[in-house]
Amino acid sequence: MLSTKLALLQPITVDKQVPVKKNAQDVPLEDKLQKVREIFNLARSLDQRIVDVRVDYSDSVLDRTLASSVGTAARQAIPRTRISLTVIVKENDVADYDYIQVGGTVGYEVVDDLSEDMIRETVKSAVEQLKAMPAPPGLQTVILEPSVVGTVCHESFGHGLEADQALRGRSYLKEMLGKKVASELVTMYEDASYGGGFGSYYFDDDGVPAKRNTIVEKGVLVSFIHDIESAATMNASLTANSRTQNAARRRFIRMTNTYAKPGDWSMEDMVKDTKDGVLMMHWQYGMEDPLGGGMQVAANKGYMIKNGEKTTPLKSITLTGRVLDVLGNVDAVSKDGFMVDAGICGKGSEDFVPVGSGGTWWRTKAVVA
Amino acid sequence: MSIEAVLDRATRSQWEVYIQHAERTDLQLRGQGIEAAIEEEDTGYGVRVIIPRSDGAGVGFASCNSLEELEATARKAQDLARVNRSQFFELPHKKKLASVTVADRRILRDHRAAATDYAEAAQAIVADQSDATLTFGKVRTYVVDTQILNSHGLSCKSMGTYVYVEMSFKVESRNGPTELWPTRYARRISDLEPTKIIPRWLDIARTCLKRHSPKTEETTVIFSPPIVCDVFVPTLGYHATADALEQSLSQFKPGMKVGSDRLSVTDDGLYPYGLRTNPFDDEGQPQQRTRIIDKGIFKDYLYDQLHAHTMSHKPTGNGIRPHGDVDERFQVAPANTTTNLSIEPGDEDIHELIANVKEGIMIYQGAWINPDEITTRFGAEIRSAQEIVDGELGEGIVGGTISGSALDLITKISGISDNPEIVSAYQFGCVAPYMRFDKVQISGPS
Repeated sequence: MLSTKLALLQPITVDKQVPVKKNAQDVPLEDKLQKVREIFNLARSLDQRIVDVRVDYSDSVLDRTLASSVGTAARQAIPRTRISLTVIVKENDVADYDYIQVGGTVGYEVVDDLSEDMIRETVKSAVEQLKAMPAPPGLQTVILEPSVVGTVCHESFGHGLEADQALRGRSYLKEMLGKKVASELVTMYEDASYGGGFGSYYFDDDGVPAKRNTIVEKGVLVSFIHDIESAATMNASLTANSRTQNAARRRFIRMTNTYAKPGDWSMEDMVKDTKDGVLMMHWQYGMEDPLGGGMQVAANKGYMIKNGEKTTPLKSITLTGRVLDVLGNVDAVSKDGFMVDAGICGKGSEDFVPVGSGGTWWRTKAVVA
Repeated sequence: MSIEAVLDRATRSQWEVYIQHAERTDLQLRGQGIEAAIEEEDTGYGVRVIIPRSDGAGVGFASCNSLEELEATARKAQDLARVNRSQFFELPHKKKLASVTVADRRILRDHRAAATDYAEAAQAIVADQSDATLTFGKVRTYVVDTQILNSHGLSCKSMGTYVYVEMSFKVESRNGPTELWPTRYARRISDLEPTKIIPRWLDIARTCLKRHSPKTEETTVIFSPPIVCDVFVPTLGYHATADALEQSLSQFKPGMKVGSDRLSVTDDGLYPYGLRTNPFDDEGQPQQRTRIIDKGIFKDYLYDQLHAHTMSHKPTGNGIRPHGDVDERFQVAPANTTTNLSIEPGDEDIHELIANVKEGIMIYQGAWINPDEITTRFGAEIRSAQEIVDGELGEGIVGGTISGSALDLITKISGISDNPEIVSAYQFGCVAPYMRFDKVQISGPS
């Protein structure tokens, strides 16, 4: 086995449960099913081109106790509730869909956030996808919806700053601490203490209390994210990012809630100010490239922007590029639309943990297809 | 009390239990050292209950990790079945099963030693390369014992092995480092033999030491077998299922021309040492070979027990538990999906496939291709590729995007290689050759 150093831990004594308005475990299964069926039936009734509606509801309470020889005796109960709607439509052999989801470290009250207006809007959006065109391929001006910005933050400096990759000699960012890595409009946080975030908790799986860490400040790389091994080896402060999928698996350095700070623009002005470009909406997934510094982010839909106006709807869009280029090209960040969306993240293709990611609207340049 | 008696008492309905006992060794590597060594042994029970009703049935599923919890788990599945609505179907009865071998003797004999030997061999090969580092790696071996019992008296068992390898190879030159980050599951070590596959992976990594971004154009592209698996298993596989047909989402109809004459595809649940090869599927139906596409013509759909019953068709052994971890399949209920998607090889070797390209790209690895099963669209950053100029492989290509639709691609096949490989993408099994396509969209910064 490799020898290693471990950071000195302060003992913690905690017994906390995330407060919720309505405990999902107290809601009868029949009531949950009834809610799911109401959403299904409403969505299904809204357009004859709908061939399938999928409503996924899940709730869980992650109850973890950590005791260690440093004197830690800590327990936390983290409820997570999520509901999503996917509407699949078909016309003349063309099938497409759109989706919406709400969720977080919250209780059953979150299901009411999926309003009738949102259901109607999702159906309308899915139907619009039937006529959507592929995005024009190549380097473009791109306006990113907050959910897509969150995925960009997650895949760019989220994974890129997991310090275990630096210890392995697998991070292109290792030598860039304190250097400019993005536009000065970009400030980014990694925050396990973010209220209601899907990746939130009170302490990490090493027993380090959660806190907000600034990872990029006005375009300058400020900090990696750490566990007790990397913090000791790299002489850095603990950031509370040690996480495991479950007790049978290994702990790794993982993200929690990764989001970008709002800026000064309005989304409306950002679109008006764009002559030619692509608007990317409704994030789907992404992939990191810790050594090469690349990035891939996929979104389910978008629009062309022509002379400051949203025009033709676009089918699923993939954004790729060098992280330093894509983040360096950010020339507008909105003050409106801030949100942190719920997702699941793997270390590579395994070891899944709940995370949040978000921000506000961004404009940048990247390769899309 | 026997498991059957416990489940009879708890459910008084149709029941099925999928029992999985797994032992595994997990070695996580950094350079020439070991970051973590984990040994695990676990048993899981997945219980499905079907309650007939006048308007169909209720189906409930729950899982647990101990025999002591089995009765409570069965009651939970029963409670879920009471409030759930599904179409009625019968669980399978006992049938004659094909004889297939799904275990590697080396892993069966000592899974810990097999993993250790593999890890040491991999590290030794990389240590001999002056330009390469194994920055991170995972080697896992599994012995998985599976048993299915149901209320119709069905009882079938199999014992299989798996090996999982994930490696990140960093190769360096004056131009800077480049990485290849492959992941692969197989049933036996010989399909991922380190002395064969690791030098090949290192060679692919080296091809990108001198590299450039692609230009935006439609061009000829050759997919390596893992890319063929990533693009086509989730898409062709989905559109070939009775589930997609039932939801009016399949783009295939029997007798319909769906692709090039060169394309023939079989769902092969009996392929020797295929990742999803087994005598029986995850509901207990015999697995078989089912021709999906023959010379570009769609032949027939794949059926699990539910769809076979409701659509009056014979089951094809395609009730599969779609869990990414081979030892945690008991946690999910069966779904209608593929076993091993086998693409029939062509008659050119890979060198001939390349030699016939004036200008094009050979793709070895994308960031995450992850095609959409419904629309079959995909878009992925190119992580490792090589340009082809006048029939010869040239400089590496990194960055930019490859995009398209799988259903469109199968109409553009211009060549298939003659030597297919067992490959995998997460839980999917696949047997794939190299495939060449014309007019594929590549997007780059220029």
